Amino acid sequence: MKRIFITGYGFLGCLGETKEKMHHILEKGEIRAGIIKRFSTDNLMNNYAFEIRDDINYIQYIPASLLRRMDNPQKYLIYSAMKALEDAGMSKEDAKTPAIFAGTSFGGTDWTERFFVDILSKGPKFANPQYFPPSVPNAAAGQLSILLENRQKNHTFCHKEVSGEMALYTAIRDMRYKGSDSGLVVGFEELGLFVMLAFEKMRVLLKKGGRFSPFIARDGFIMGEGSAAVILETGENIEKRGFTPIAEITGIYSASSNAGIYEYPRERDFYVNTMENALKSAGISYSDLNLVISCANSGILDEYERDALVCLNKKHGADIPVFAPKGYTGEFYGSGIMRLAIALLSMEKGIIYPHSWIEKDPGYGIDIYRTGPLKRKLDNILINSFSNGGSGISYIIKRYE
Amino acid sequence: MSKKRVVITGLGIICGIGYDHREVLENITGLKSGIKEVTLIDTSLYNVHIASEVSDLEKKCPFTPGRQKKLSRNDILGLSASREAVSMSGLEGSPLLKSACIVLGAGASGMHSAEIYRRAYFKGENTSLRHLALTPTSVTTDTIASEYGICGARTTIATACSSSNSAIGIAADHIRYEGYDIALTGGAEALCELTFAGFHNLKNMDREPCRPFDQSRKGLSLGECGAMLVLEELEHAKKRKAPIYAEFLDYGCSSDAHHMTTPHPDGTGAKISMANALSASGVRVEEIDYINAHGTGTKLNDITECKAIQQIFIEKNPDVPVSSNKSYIGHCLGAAGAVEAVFSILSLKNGIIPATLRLEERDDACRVNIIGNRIIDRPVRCILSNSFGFGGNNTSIIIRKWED
Repeated sequence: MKRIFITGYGFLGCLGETKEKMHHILEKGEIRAGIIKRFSTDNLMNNYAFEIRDDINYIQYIPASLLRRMDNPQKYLIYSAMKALEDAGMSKEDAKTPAIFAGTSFGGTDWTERFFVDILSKGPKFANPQYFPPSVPNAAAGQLSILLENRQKNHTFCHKEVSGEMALYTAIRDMRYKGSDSGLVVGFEELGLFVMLAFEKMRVLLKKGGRFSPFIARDGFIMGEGSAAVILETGENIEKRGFTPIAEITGIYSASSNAGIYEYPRERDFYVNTMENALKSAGISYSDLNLVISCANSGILDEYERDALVCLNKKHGADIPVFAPKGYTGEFYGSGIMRLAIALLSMEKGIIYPHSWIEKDPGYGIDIYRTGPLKRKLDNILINSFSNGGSGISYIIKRYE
Repeated sequence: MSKKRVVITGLGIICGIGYDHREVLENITGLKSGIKEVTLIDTSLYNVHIASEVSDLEKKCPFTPGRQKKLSRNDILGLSASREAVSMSGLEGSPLLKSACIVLGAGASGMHSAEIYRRAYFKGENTSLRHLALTPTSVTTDTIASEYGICGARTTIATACSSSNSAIGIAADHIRYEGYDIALTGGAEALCELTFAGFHNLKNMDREPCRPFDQSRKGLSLGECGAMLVLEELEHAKKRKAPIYAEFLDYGCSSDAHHMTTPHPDGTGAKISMANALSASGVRVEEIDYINAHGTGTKLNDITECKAIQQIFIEKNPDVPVSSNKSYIGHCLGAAGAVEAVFSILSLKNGIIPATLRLEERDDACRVNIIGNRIIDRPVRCILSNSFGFGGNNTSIIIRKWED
């Protein structure tokens, strides 16, 4: 079985678009949610989101003629992918070789919505056809292959909160067993009115007067958006390029449970087994971990994940620090690779970031109370993702030495 | 280490020409087209009024009205096809399904349900939240997994029109490389106004039923379907004495890296995907007995696909028969690969090559052996089936007749 390394990552989100910017925001524990500016929130009870606000210099990566015809997900994905390629030291020629694996739950929702509103308001014949192609979730990854002149396989996975991880899972398998030397894995999502409306109707968004506090309150989540990409390479490819990787993906495990279409699995064993099987595939024990990157989002899932972690702590006599990035990014279903990017940043900086929304130790039996950044050598990090409908993926990254 | 062999032990289909595989086979050989006036969408404001719709789905599907209320049209199509596939595989009620995995390809998914909600929202009317809840792309996968108690890996892939061909390939990879014995795979696609208006306004649709490869073709016809396969590791299938309908050899993918909606003019991406499928399958060009073409009926697709076929097959297998199932059932988008895989298995099992309906005069630019308005009765051993999608995503799969 081939070993899979991460040689670069890039991102774009409310935490910025450079490693230094993201590091400073996380180190300070700055929560960057604000009132949505992109669209009218008159019909929403909750008008807060982790929106991308900075003026992003897309033009450095996307020709102006193309940029005009792109919706946000396409811009986000391309920007983060280009940053990752740069970080991995890949030339224009190198960028033609990675297979592309993308994850998004909804794809281009805004232009899809505009197209449908056109149909209803102007009549179908007058709906702008430009809005239609981005309605396919693979539009953004397709645009990337066009820009990179990359003719490799290009898959987009759409499976709620585990979309990005499914892309990662498939990329790893392809490289381990099917001869691909490199892969570009990207997860993305845009903030859109209709998706927010749907979540609000499903009563999973932050309730009025509620607190957005992963692991602390179960009042619902604030939506976010963004994109993050990683470059995966086999050992042989890295040697050929003479490049030093950041980390290795040593184990991954995917499972599902029949929780109900919109429910999270209730059995603690589902979460425990998913994590333990990932650890087993990495050949390490739970107590070898230095950090767990959680998928807690201030909803009911937090309790299930927390109980599983408490169980593992007890079983292994350990108290592994846990970090919940969604407290800083908000919830977006294609956020999996963003959380991987944050894990890589933690690993590179040797820092466990604080949870600025946790004011005192809640005494849950998991290590989540941190008012400031914690210096720590991070060798092994476990990253979790669990989705409503019953899918789960856990995986381990190991610092490269 | 030799590659694990993956066989197909169950298949299910529901589409514009039949509610199960027997009826579909009868209508393939009977040259019956399912493309007709659409009832699901009000087409009065469009120039096109036809598609291959599954008529009377609510009456014909095996679910009670109460159950149907909780499902999207896409779910019903997917579940109906799954039920047939699981039943054919002899796995109905079997605990073996618990450890299976599921990989589905998706297109517009629950968009039809979302449209019901959107229309009401636009008019300021109240409507049930369930329409909205059925929208996400992966809901059909979760619904089918839940129906059969599947607890293995669960994946939904959405690469437009190549989705379900990729899903079948990825499902086979789960068996070959992840230790799964059984995978439920395929796809579902329900007609909806978004795709109808989209293709209409891109001027990609023919007012008449589509005529792939014909000189006078004017575009595609849309379709809807559910099409599912049970894939199984060969030794596992043999051990439980499962019926084996065909062998899934392997698949190949590529990107055009050219344009969002139009194929590469030289057929470069299509050529790479077919070449990759042949190489992964270990099949020689001359072993392919039939190409189940993507064959949408659009000017550009048909020409570029034929160019790609020509480049690969001209030397060693220039007369390989080619036809397009879309002339029967329209373009089923995210489920096109899966429904065409079922057609291909029916071809292998019954020794037939389906027709390309309404082909009167072959386009001179499509210089391959297109099978027109007739069925060819001939033993077929190995089929290559193409699916190409928006974004330049191409996937080709190869299926072989089962011979122990």
